[in-house]
Amino acid sequence: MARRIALLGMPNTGKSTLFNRLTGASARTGNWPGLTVELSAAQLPLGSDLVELVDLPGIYDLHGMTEDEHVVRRFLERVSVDVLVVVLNAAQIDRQLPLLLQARALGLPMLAVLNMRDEAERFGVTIDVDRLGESLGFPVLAVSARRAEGMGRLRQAMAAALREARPVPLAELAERLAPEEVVQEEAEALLRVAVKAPHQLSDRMSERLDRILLHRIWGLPIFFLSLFLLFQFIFTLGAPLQDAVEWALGLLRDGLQATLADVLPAFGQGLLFEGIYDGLATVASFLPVIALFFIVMSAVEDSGYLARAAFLVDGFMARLGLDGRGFVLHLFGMGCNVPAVMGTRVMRSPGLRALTMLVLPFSLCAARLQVFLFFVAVLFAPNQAAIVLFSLYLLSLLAAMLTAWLFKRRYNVVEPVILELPPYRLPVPGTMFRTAGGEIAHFLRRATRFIVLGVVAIWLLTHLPWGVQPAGPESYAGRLGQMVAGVFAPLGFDPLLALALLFGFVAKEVVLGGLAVLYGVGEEGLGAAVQGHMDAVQAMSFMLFTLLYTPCVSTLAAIRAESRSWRLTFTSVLWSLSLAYTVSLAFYQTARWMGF
Amino acid sequence: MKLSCLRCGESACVTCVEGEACLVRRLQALGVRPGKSVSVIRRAAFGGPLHLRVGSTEFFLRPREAESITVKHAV
Repeated sequence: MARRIALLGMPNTGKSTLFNRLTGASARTGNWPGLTVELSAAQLPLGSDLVELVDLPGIYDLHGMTEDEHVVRRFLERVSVDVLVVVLNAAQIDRQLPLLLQARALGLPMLAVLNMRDEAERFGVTIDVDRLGESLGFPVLAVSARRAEGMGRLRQAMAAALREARPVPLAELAERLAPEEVVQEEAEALLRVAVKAPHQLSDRMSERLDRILLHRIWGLPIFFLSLFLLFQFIFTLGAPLQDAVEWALGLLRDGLQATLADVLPAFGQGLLFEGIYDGLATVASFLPVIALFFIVMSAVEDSGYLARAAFLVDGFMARLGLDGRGFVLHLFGMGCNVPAVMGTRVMRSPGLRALTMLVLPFSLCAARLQVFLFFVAVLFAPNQAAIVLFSLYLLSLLAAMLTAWLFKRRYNVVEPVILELPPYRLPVPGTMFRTAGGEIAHFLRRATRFIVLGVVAIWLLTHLPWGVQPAGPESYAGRLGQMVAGVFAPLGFDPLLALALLFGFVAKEVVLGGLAVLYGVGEEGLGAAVQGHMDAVQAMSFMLFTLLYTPCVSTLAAIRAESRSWRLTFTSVLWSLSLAYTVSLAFYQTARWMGF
Repeated sequence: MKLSCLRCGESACVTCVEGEACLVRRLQALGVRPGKSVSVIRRAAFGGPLHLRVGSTEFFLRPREAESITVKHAV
């Protein structure tokens, strides 16, 4: 039977970084307390054995009542563990010892790891590791997972503990735990003999940075400025990469098409190239920007700045029934709404999570930005273009605030907001790329599925039944357009625009490509075609609708998966659809009435 | 007195932590226990959260949660 070692520890002890160091696996790590909610496990060769290493969620307390604490208790009661490795933040040993003592009461073979020993030195905390180990009766090791120090010794200690270990079943775990006061007293006694710490502990660098970055007045402007610069960096670097990928994929397409020209019938070729290949190429061309986005975000997350951003805006967010973390996720959503929705896992109250998930799809994501950039460039003068774009960002924030304000009564939110502010840390490139790699793989799996399905569906709708003019009034797509035309006419959309919106439900990336197919032009000829089909008022109405209407299928799938609630998913669709319709209708009719 | 009475930069000794069991446990785990010294480092604008330090741990909490912590000035 495979033997098992579990990592237990509080949030923000570098437990997941340690896990990654030991296994090289891509468990998601971050400076945000409690980020690892799913259990990650990996095979670890120890001596001659292959051992399963499990990274348990970060918890504050074995008695606790949060979801994570239930998960850990359930895991320890039901799964046999040969060795329990408890990870502590060495700089915070004064408050983390009680958890170690609680864990010891379980009676499992144990090992204590004092991680972040470099940070402890920075704080002036010295720990007599041997003395601590003697008093506790099991090995204690000081390491630094970020700097990969002490990993060899840790592996040896784990192998040694494993040789002597006999798994103990842990039914009725709660009964084994010692009373709180006893644990606290013992912890105090241990601290007196084995730990020296200055009376006032602070990390000078973090303190100085905080004085600037958390400034009452300048804190927020500085945060927004750095965010703006990061986005600038991502798009400046990403755009040429995106062009390069598109160019390479175009070459490949031509080559493939020439090879397959004689083998496949015309219908199959159309489906394969205009449908599946172009769909996949759309996803692939977005990859450089998305990869950069995840790398940058994982660096920001690792640095400890995100928790500070949450601090800065929490007061304002509280009035909307949200909290500072929700705001940070909204910023995440500007890359792609999907990882932002997944990020709500850090919230413990289901009500708060639901409300945040309802708000997040209004974050103006990169896919929508692409549509807006196109329309703005085609239909507005350069000096108007920037204002139009800025007003769209503003509107997306307003829509989010309105949603939170309207729904906060329904999702009664009572969650004490307590968030650690870890010291600032330089991101470790290895961790950064591993995290980003995992996220990108996740995105690819999700995106390819939906975009391929969506593009194939569009292609079939515009080319069936047999022999019709592609996207003509006789095709299924054309008939569908006629059916919905009446509904969208008051917003100023012709049937083809309405159809493009239907396609955009699959993924907003499809809107432009869809329009090109519908107008029967390539993406190069789309600008002229659009100018011929609509004026500025119609275009603005179209953009407003695109900004607000239903989250794309991937986002909805994420909402459904994270909330496990169809009700919330449908609420999200219906609410955003009605908001989009109302706003577009009001805008279009008012503008026309005013004579524009 | 309540923790919320402290000015920014002031420290005091925790005398009592009371309230919802969940909140009390979380505060204890972060090191807020009777006898420990806690400092208010800063407050965010717009009635926002308080930035606290206990030992080497820094965290923020909302004024409402801060009400559950009672402190006295060290003599």
